[in-house]
Amino acid sequence: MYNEQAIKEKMKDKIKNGKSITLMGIESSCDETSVAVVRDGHEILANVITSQIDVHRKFGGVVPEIASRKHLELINPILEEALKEAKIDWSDLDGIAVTYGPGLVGALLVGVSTAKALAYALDLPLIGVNHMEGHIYANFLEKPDLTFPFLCLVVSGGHTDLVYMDEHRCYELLGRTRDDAAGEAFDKVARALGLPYPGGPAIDAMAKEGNPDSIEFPIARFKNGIYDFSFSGLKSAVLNEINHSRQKNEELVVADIAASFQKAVVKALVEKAFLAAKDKGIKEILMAGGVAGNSELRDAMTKEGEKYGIGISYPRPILCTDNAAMITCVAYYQYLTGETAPLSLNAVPNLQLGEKCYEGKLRQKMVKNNTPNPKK
Amino acid sequence: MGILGIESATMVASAAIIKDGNLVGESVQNIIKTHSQRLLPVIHQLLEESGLTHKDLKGIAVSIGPGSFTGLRIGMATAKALAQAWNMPLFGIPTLDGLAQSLIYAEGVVCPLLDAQKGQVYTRLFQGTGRQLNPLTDPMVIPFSALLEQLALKQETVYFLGTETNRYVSDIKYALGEKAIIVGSNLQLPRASNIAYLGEQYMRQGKQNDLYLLRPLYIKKSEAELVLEKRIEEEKHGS
Repeated sequence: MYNEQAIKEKMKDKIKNGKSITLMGIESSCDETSVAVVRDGHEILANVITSQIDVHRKFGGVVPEIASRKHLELINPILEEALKEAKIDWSDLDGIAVTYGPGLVGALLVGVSTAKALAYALDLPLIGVNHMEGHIYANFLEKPDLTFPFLCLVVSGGHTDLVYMDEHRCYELLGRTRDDAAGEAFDKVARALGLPYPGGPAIDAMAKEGNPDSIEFPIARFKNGIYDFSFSGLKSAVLNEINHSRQKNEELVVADIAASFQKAVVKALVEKAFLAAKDKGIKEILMAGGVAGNSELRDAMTKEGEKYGIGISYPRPILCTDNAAMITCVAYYQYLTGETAPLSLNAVPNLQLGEKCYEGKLRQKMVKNNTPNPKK
Repeated sequence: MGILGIESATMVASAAIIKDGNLVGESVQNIIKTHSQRLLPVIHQLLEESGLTHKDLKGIAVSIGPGSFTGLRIGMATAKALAQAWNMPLFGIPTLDGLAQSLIYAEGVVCPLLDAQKGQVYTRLFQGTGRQLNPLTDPMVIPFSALLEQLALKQETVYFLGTETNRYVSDIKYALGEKAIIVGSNLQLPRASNIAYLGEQYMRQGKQNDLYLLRPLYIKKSEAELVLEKRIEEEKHGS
């Protein structure tokens, strides 16, 4: 019968005997249902991702209830598909990992409930993973031998964080957005420009045809919290620009606005990432999250890195989007330290980076210097 | 032959095991704590204390709604994953059928009630013959006042049960008077033993569900879909 302590002992034996570790991971925090099988934290045997974007597009954004319904329809066939693709059986697995936050609570619960039942049914360790750690660890899928310390620029629809790491799974938050996340700004501006959801890739593509110097948009800088970001002012400036053009009955040059807006976002991200890297004497900056897939941001970071002799790493675009392989990668490092979750694990929609929060209670903080979230 | 029953369509988290025609054990918890935290530990405890393992089970029966959207998904995701990992048949039981089972020997109309919010209830009416329940309607969502108007026309006894019954006692008494019978607290809740019991019948009848295709019986669309439909409708009439 299921016994968390006995399972921990088994894990220790496996590690001691140098056995390879094969984990299955489940991700359902937003509008992607994904299941992966990863061996030893980096060998991706399967990473099945089913996007619901088409379902949500007509609503102009993710509808939580619909996302939750879709996850439940998709998850079981995807589990089977992942096993098939990995050419393994349930009995070959050493553990079940799942994203338990942050994200949409109803969506998270489908993955969490499924993972708990699987772990219980198969008598395997259950490993609860923070989605944002997953984004950072997508880099370890690409380069398992990355050396500490490094800086990570986490940019997604919900986050814009500058994180310093000098050991595994320990985070020091140097800066974060004070209002909108970068990805959020992309989505809102795209909607105002009449571009399809999701906004990031749409603006990225449109910007290639526009003149990035046609409009000068502002970049927010702070005296206290020099590494912090703000994108709401920029977003308002773009919306004003659009309204002015409409009022004057001028033709809206969507490509120019997209290019100029994107340039301003990229400039802010690059500026603060390198400011922090230079202050901390860092030789490597990682990029993570959906916006890390933005082509201009990648180019600008790489160019700046060459100038200052700082290495820039980012995962393949597919590993920048929400996917279960990155979750399974974090889980591997949790497995190594015997960090399992109880069967009472719950979804934690506002889970912070570095927090361990089982049964709705904060168990542990792995954040070194957490600036309070100004939104709260 | 054992069946594990799972019921989490309402605030109640319940699991039960029926083996060879005997109810081996049942846990029913009507307390405010999320299903996500309670359900699997409840199943675990039930199996452990009854000294059974999954090898004693031949199938899993799960309550599929209507009910709380999130509660249903937690129950169904759990049941589906267990069935998938244990490679066992899955049986989806409509929640209101399970609830009404508690009054299977009633003579008259049986009216199970579950909360559907905004003054609405989920119900399915059954005709009780004293031996069995024959459905009179499909599962539906209906304003409670409209349901009462319909039931007031009935000449026979109407039995009410379900999580919403207590809230509406005075309305029911006012509209139906002596014709209404409201069950006591012991028969009020949806429970997993009824789900397991019906699951056993489904299994005998070979009514196994496809694990991949079984979906909750939401009945109600999401708010966002309703808003979108209304907008499209308005645009159609506007143009």
